[in-house]
Amino acid sequence: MLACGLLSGLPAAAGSAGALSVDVESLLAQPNLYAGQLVTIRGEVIGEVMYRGDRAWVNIGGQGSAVGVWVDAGLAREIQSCGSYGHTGDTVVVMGEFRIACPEHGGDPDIHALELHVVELGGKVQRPISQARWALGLGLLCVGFLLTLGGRHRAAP
Amino acid sequence: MTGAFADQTGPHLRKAREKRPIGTLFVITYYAGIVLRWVAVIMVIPALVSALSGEWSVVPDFLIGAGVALVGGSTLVLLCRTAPSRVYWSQGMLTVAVSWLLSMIVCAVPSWLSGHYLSFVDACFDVMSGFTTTGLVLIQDLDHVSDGLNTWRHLLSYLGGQGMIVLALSFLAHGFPGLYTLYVGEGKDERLLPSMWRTARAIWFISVVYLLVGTGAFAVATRQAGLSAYRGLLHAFWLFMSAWSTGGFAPQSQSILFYHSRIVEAVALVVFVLGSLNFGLHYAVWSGNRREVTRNLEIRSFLVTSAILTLISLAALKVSGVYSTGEVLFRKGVFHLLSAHTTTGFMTIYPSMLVVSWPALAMFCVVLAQLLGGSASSTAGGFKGVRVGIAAKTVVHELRRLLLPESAVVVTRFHFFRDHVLGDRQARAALLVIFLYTVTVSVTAVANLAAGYPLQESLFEAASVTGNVGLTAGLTSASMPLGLKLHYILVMWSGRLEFMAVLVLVGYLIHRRRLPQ
Repeated sequence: MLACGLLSGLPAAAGSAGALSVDVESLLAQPNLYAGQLVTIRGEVIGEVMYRGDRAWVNIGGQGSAVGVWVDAGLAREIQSCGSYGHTGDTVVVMGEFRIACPEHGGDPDIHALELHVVELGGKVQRPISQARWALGLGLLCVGFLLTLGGRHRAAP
Repeated sequence: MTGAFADQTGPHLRKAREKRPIGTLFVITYYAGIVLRWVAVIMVIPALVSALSGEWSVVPDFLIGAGVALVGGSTLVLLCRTAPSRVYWSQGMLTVAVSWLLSMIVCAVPSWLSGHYLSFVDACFDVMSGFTTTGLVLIQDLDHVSDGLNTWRHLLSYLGGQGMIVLALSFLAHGFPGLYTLYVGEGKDERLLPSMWRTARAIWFISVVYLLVGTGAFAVATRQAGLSAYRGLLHAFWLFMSAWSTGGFAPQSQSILFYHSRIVEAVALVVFVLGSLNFGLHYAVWSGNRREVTRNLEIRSFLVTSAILTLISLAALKVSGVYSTGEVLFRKGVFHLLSAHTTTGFMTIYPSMLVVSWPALAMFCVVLAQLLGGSASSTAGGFKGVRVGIAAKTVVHELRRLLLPESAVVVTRFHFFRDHVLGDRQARAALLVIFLYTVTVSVTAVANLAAGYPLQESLFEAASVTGNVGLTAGLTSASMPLGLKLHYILVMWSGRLEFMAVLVLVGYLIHRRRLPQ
């Protein structure tokens, strides 16, 4: 597993097979620095794994954005959880070629993955239900309905 | 005293009534209250979506929001004993301006309660961005937003594009006076039918039919892209509302790029171009008047400007070597140019790439396209095609007048749903709004520069926010200065209402004694 720390504005240290370790934010902030190069990124799988025959699209999220990874469907099937409101996605490490305008995919910026490893499993996120908010919401609605009915009563001939 | 009394009085009593501002406050209060009640009703939709998705912790956020809207709206209505019997032009404009501001505050409540905004102002920013179909966002962690909140965001865009005030009043206050003034106040002026109430309902009927067809098309596209059935349907619903309203909101942080699908992009392109067209044009085609498509000045203007700007930007992209193949040039160049020209704001590249990779000439074309905008009486922003067409015709008219003998009578005609003779009043009205947009872009660019942002990004973002576009060069973020956020809220609001309603509000606040009727 490769470390992903990076000084802002500088290419990351080389990882295995000469790939540059970089976080998603830095990759997308300065894409020209990494165009055509082997990179290693680490991040959370977000949305859904979108299978296209024997390949799949996996979107890896960072802080505020995400990058698309074009990967073998077999590797993608290792992913068990994708990030959403109710779930934390698996954390994966991907090594592949970063293309700033991929001619194969309509000019999309993407990574053609050579390796994908799940390094941390995601799972369901517990969202506590606030009874106070339920009470406040229902209470305000009751008051609102009473005011509405009061207005209709006063307006009636 | 009410407007009805004023209608039956002589000049001396009318003059006395004009000096009292209470009539205007009465109109604003009553109709703002009606609009807030409507806001409470529509909050049921995202609450239901959250319930269906099992997001029970999210449902009370919308109950609280609906409660605040209902309490506030009913209180305002109760303050007025009866409905106004007449609404003057200026009062209609004021009602629209104030109602949008009040609605923004109330609609921001569930957004702020979600925890995805760093401040209530940020929540208001996104709400106003939705209402005005701009599409710039300050939301945090969009990829982990609930289905309910995503539904709310996209619904705001859809309702704002259609005309929120007109929606509320046409469905909740049948037959009330002043609907046309409010319709114009929201930036539309096409009467599809003799009755304004029927016009409002016709607009909604057209939009709902497109909603069903468009959501179906997006659902097929997202399934093809690889999304599951339920998620695909939700995404289809959201994407349609955003595309049709030329809003630019997307359910994921990567915008349309998330799907990596040429079919999703194609459906989005068709829907947002259709959404940017005049509702009158849709109605004309539906009514069998298909010749209007080729004769309409606005369509011709849009075709000419979009063709010229597309060709120039594609040439610049090709020469710079950013994109090599025809498909790539189309999917990136044409898509973003039209996304800008229709003031939609969908993106399939990252903001940093616009700045870093795109040549300056292509960026300039996008900036210009953002300003030119879509059609009048549509969901789009910008100068509007009909004004651009009238401005061009005015230039030609003046040139002909100068070149022909003084005794010659120069008549310039144009077709915009019916034949018109170009007159000073139309030219003045078109050029006034273009002037106001230009001034606003300039002031906003200066504000961006003053905040320390680079020139290219400042100009780009100024054009985007003023034209209610939503494309971003990365300047818009939660780390923007508070003053700049408030400025952007003001600009989005003004631009969407085409300045008149906001200027009337400013005039009323300064000169409260008397309003022009």
